[in-house]
Amino acid sequence: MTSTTTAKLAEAFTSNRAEQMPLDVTREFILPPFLPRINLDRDRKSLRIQGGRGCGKTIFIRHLCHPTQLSPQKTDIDSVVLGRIGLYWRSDTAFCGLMKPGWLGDRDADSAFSHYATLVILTEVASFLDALARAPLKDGPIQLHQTNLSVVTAEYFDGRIERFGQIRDFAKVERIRLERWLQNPKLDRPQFLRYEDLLQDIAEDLASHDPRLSDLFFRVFVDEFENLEVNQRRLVCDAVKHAKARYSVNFAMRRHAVNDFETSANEQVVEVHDVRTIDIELLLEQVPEDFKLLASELLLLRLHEKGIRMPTTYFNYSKLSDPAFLEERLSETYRRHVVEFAETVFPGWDGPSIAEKVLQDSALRNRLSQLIRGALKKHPSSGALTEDDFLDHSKPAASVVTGCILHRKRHRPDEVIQWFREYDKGNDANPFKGWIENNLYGALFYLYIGLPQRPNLLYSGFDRLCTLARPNLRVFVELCRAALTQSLDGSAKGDLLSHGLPVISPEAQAEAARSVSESILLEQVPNLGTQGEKLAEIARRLGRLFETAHRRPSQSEPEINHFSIEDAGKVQLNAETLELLREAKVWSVLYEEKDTKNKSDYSIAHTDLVPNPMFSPYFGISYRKKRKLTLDASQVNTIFTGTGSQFESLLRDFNRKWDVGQEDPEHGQLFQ
Amino acid sequence: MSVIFPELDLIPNGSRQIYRERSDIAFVGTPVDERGRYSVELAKANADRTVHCRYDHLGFSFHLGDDVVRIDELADYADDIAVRRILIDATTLDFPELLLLSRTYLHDTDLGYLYIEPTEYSELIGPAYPRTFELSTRFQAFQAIPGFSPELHAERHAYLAACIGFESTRLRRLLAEDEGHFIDRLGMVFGVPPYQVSWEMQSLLHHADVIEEQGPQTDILFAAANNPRSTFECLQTLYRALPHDGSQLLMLGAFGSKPTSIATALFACTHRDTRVVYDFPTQKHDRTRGVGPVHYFMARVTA
Repeated sequence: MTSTTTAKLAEAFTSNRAEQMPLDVTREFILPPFLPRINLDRDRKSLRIQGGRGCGKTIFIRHLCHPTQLSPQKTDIDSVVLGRIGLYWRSDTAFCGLMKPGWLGDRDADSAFSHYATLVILTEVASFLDALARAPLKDGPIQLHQTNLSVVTAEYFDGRIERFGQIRDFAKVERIRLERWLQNPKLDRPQFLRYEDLLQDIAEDLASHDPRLSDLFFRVFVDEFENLEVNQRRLVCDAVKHAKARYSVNFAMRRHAVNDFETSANEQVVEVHDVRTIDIELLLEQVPEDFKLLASELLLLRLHEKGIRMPTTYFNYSKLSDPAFLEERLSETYRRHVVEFAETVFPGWDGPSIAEKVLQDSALRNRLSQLIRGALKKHPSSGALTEDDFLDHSKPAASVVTGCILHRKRHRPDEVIQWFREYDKGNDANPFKGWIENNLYGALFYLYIGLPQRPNLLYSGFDRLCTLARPNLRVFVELCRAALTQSLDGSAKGDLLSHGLPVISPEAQAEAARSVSESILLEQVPNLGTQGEKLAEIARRLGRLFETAHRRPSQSEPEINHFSIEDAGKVQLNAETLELLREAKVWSVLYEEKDTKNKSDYSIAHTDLVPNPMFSPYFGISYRKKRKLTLDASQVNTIFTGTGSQFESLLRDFNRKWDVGQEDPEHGQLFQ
Repeated sequence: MSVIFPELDLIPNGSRQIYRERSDIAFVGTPVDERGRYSVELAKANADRTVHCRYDHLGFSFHLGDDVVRIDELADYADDIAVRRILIDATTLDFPELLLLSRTYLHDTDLGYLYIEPTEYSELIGPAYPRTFELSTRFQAFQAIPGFSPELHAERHAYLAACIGFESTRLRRLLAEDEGHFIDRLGMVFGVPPYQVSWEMQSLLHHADVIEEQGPQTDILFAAANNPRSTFECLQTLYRALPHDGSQLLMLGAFGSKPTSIATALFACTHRDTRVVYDFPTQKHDRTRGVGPVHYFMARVTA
């Protein structure tokens, strides 16, 4: 593959935000595997679509809206789609900021926002009518522009318009008037409209003009709900709470960004009763295989768009957005084939194979030798044993874990060597079996962490890239782009062709993971919300803490990469820490997960706080959720809000506790 | 409407007189550094009255001495006092104050701006190159300033013309928040020539990856960091190049040097179809050191 080809392929992954995509996402959207589980056709209840940044909320909504549902790119569209047709609304946040009580007074602020909502919805209805007029519906398009409004509908417009085709201009003129008045409320106030009855009556009116519209039902989607002002969110909640026969109001938001769903009448919007939550992240987390399927299909789709011939008949891009093929896509055979091809593009090595590579790499092998030598020196029972006795190319995994095992006081070198020598004899009682199972990854991370210039092969392979990115498809796309770009750098890394697909070497993947990790941590996180810089600093501090844990020579608790807070002390978390914790969850810097294994008897921590796995390659630490650190409130306060020197002091305490620092004098701290 | 700059003066070192005629009123802010304190002193010495002012973006009000005025009543407030010439201390006042004062006194008044360069910016300990200047302690969410916030929607997007300074996080945050939804093209106006040789490189290097990310959808422009006319002309060029069907408006981001903010404010005041974005930074105490060259700019609106 030439570097020009690779560059073109990398381009396929450069535009990765739904907002940069067209309103009609027929070609971009892949029906998610979780669709049958949420069954959107079940009812017309309001939906709350939630998930972290980049998990695909916007594209999911756009797929449900009229530009996609009535896309000219489709054929023979069943009019059943008109029974749940979406109208998209993303507010101009700063403009909405003018509809605040502080500027307009309580009453006018609310009325102005309702009026604005009405005009946005009317503009969307006008676009829906345009889409309807050119939609490839089964029995042809529905042209209603010249159709007269009913007497009831016309009344809302004060006799200013007579036909459906005039709605757009009406909304446009009113938007200009509203805009002018909001800049200077001393001007004449526009005549305010409310959409509640208006939208209901327009839908009724439309439904009477064509039998295919008889079941017409609008789903109004308010994207980025969290960015609205408090009074505006209440007005949206009013509409959610009081759905009408012909429409419902739905909203999308980042997880944790809003906790209060109160209406203007101080009622709460209640899950199940008023709203159904579709948590895209949760749905993708629950079934990791689904994320892998989506990621594989996305990869193949983007490659297909760049002219790569697909090596299998199983994959056909036109199936991806067609509900008729969803069942087939969810079959085991299809999944296996598609994922297999993604694995061809992103090959990876298993743990023992990476151990083999370690023994072949002089620098990594040297580090392992030093580790073993250091341990032998400490033990009186070492006798004449040397590190070479524990390095055996025929037993790479056992060789790699030996260094850590020997650093544990309870294991005598003269015993360990016996088990090591007999490891390949097939004795099930040989402890190396368990040691490898529990320590191989930890030992490998330990070795790589001391040599940060070496691409860590534990960050390569399709499966691992999915684990790093999950549940964020945008991150996966960034990894694809970076990996293809890395392949550009050197043909030595082996960007070969297999079955017509590009193959990215594990080394290039690992380097890509490191560069994407760095870019997210240092360039993206600091710009998230108003506290981005602080969130990035917290992520850096946590990374350094876990990196220290990974440097423990004994690896007695390998792969510590997340934490929980002692329940008893939680009340001592200061207000700023609590606010930053919330922000960190909103922006997916930290994920809150249910505690699965609480090893401490006295602590009653119920939730784990897991840094975004995508930070791991930057620090060279594990991305697998294996072990956690339980911190007390004061330690958490120090990490979140302490000064630099307070944090350094905390880190030194852990260094001492974990016996880090004496083990490898030639390698200092990596990330200051 | 356009703006001319009849005076773009560099005041001789140590001179207490910044213009041959005194101003009727000087508007000053709260100094946070040495040059700010000197600037307020100088403004006081060159005007008959001095009024301390501050814009409260949460309350949409303007604090003028002991008075608090809603910003849609600023013009009435100003009408009560006849003035021919005002002096705005751009060293201590921030962009929103420059914007609102300029709008209030736009007609029939000579708008004078006093600005003093620092000799150094306070710096974060970090890599020697590029240097990271530490200027603000925090930023607010981007908020509209009434009068300068036309709506953006599916049929009207924005061309963001951002005057660039040292703090790249300001532009990045705006782009991250927008996610390409309303801003479909970016013009980055770098302050070249800078106040001091090599400062432009700090600014360019801190924004290099933004340029790379935005790719071909970015225009790179240069306007002198200490000359508002240069920036004004630059904005005018961008404005004239916009499509004439109203599908794109000019969004102005004042993230650069104060003289570029003066130009941005004047441009917004004289072009109603532009939009202003601002993030209301909290300035760090002692963010700069020393008292550098003193500038006096005079602007006058023409039909």
